[in-house]
Amino acid sequence: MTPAPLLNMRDLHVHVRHRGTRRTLVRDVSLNVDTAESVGLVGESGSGKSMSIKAATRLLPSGATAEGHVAFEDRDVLTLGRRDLARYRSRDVGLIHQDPRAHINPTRTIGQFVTEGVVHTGQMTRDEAIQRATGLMAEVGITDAHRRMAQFPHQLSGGLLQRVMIVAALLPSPRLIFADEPTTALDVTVQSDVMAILLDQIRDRQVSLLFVSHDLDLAAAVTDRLAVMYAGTIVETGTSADICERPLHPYTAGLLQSRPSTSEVRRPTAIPGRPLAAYEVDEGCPFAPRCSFATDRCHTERPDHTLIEGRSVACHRVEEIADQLQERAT
Amino acid sequence: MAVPWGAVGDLTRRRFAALGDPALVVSAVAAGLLTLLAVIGPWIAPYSPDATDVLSASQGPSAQHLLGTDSLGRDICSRALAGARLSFAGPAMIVLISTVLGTALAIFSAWHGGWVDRMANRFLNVMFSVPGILVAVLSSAVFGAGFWAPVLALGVVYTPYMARVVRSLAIRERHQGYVESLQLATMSSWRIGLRHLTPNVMPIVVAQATYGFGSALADFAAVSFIGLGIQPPEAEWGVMVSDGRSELLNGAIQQTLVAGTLIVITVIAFNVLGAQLSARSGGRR
Amino acid sequence: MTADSRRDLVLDVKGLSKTFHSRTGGPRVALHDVGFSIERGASLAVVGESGSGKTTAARIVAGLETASAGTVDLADPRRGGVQMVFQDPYSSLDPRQAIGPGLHELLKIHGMRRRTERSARVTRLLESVGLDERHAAQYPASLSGGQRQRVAIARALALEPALLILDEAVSALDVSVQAQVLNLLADIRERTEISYLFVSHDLGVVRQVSDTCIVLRDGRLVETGRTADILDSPQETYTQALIEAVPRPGWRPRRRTA
Repeated sequence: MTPAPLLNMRDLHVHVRHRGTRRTLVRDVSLNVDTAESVGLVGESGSGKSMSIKAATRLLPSGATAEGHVAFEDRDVLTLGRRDLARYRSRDVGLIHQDPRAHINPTRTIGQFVTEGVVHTGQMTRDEAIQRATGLMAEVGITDAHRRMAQFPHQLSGGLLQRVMIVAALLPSPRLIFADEPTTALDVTVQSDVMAILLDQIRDRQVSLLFVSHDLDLAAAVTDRLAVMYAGTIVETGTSADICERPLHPYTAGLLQSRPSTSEVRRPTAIPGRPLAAYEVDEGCPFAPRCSFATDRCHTERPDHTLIEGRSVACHRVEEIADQLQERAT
Repeated sequence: MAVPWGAVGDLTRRRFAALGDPALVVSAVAAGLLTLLAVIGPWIAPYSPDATDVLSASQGPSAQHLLGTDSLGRDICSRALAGARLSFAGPAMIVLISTVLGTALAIFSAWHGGWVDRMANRFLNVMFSVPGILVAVLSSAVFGAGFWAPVLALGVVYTPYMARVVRSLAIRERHQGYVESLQLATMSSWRIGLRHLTPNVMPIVVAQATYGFGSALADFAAVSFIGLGIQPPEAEWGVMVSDGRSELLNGAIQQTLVAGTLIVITVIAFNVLGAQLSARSGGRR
Repeated sequence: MTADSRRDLVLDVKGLSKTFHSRTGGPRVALHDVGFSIERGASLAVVGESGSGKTTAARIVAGLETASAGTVDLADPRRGGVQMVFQDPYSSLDPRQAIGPGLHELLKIHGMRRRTERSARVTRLLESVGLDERHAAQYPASLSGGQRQRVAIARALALEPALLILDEAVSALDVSVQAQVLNLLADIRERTEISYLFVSHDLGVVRQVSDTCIVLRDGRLVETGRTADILDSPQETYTQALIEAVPRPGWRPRRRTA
């Protein structure tokens, strides 16, 4: 019998109030992350990938509500009380955000920021925390850790600050790390460095990773499994290698083909229209308006997830068009 | 439309969600009604504001005189309605002057930046430190009491308040990409300032003008109160408050009370409305 | 080497340097002795990471900044001969002006006095960027990021510049929308004789959109040449590191050894 997943999201819905109306941002999202597994959540604007993570960590903006089930080690995250929630967020899971400067108090030192979580929840004494933190900082390539601990956020570059966030996320020895576009604001060489460090650390410590990104290639390189999101729902899941080499959903295939290649001059095949949010789609498949394979059924009936080739794909015509999608890609 | 007074709490908030804050609605309605009264006042007044009737002097509210009479027997209600015109005209002109001068100064300063902006800022700080009423008094003393002397003086005094508020928004807009695009398209700075920057600072201008109207009304009435603004026998709220002083000792409070209350309500309505508009005009989209 | 006088150059930059003086931090060298040129109808990419000086170089060519040293020679030196499309689609259009009137205003300044003439041109401009009459009546707030960038391109083209500078013009767009705008830019270049100066950190975009490129690092020129040559066989270690850091099929992140 397979062990229970570490993180179990089932039928997650997220709504937000906008001027008196209710707008759906995430619809029917179900996703698992197992122990020591890396899962990627990929999508463009409006896909709902960030909102899903925020729901799973109870960090939704005011006015937004989540419905459904989010279980961490069989505990329902959505109904945790204040103290349990604090433990969950500072001990069980780690969070790495896109913009570190927006999530670090500029008036407190790096040392204070990194250690406050573990000290506050009683996991370590302050001295233990400092010792472990400096050790971790050295591991992630922050030289002169003691000096850095006494510095303030504005004295560190973006790349360095993101490494500090990794240290802060790893210090309480969490079992799962949520990383929401952690390297989007960084230069590409720094991004490579920071991602390599993060991967080393989670592999050494057997920590799971839920990695959100708009960059399909980046996500595929750092995860075992990928889930592709569009307009608030998951349209395709599978191993990262499978998704990139043999996409089964027209949107995934379209995404892969619209990336400009670095190795040859090839006109990217653009998907017509623009990415929509969940509340902007009516009935039927959310991708139907932009899909070149869409039939009448696609415009009226929302597809369920079909299990095919060991993967889950939300498309009525997945079996029919699988080969055509491959032809287009090559 | 039923507006429940003392409206606090979720229930009311939800009901008015489509309209907005109760504070915004109430102050807007009040300001609107008062402005309407100022415009049509003389036409709906039951008596002429100058009609004296010494036999009915200093009387309290009655069937013939809803709000009572003043020391010369004139109907207070009519005088209040007629006086509203001058009480509103003064601050309207003050706001007009300060808005035009303040907005122009702010946009000019924000556009050029650097030392021009620094000098302008220092100049504004100096203007802030001068008390408004004092300038109005001096102005009347020099140019003669009446409508224009205090209005012009207060118009100048209120300029830095408008300029300061517009300047920070103007600076932010000036550095937006579209301004540089227009410069590249060889548009003159005058045209950019007038046709593009000014419309984009309008929300804060309207908010500040509304707020300033309330304060200007109080200041204008104050100048008239001390006798350097509108002169009796003209009807104006500040003049009425002053006229009513002599009757207070005899227990006839109606003139001062009516005029004073009207001033207070109007100032509060416009100040609250201005503050509400201001809170809603900060964001870009 | 071909003599410059025989090449039809739209832009020739030599020895460009720029030092910023802030009142608090002291002098900061943004560019040091950078040179590049663009032929008519060609497209040059300026590649670099943050702090490389690429945006500063572009802004100096556009005339939005002045150089501390060096020369910028434009074949079309009239004001308006160089136009620019900025990175942020959300602040590059006046939020209080509808698209159509905005284009009319630009054309009026450019000397088109008759309204009928302008209307025809506005329609053509919108069509040339894949928009239509419906969009003319709309305000920027109702348009998506991709549509706003199209409007920005249309506005830039309205003045018929010889050189169009695109400063990370597609970086803020979703991948699927980015592809549309890249294709649009390629089509425009094919139809007209316009030249591009494309500032980008994204090597995939650079490959698709430029013939030649220069690589900047900390204000200095690292490498220059044909885009295909530089991306396929980079000569300098920095360029190699840059290329190796780009995620692509089969890529894995690597720690820096330095």
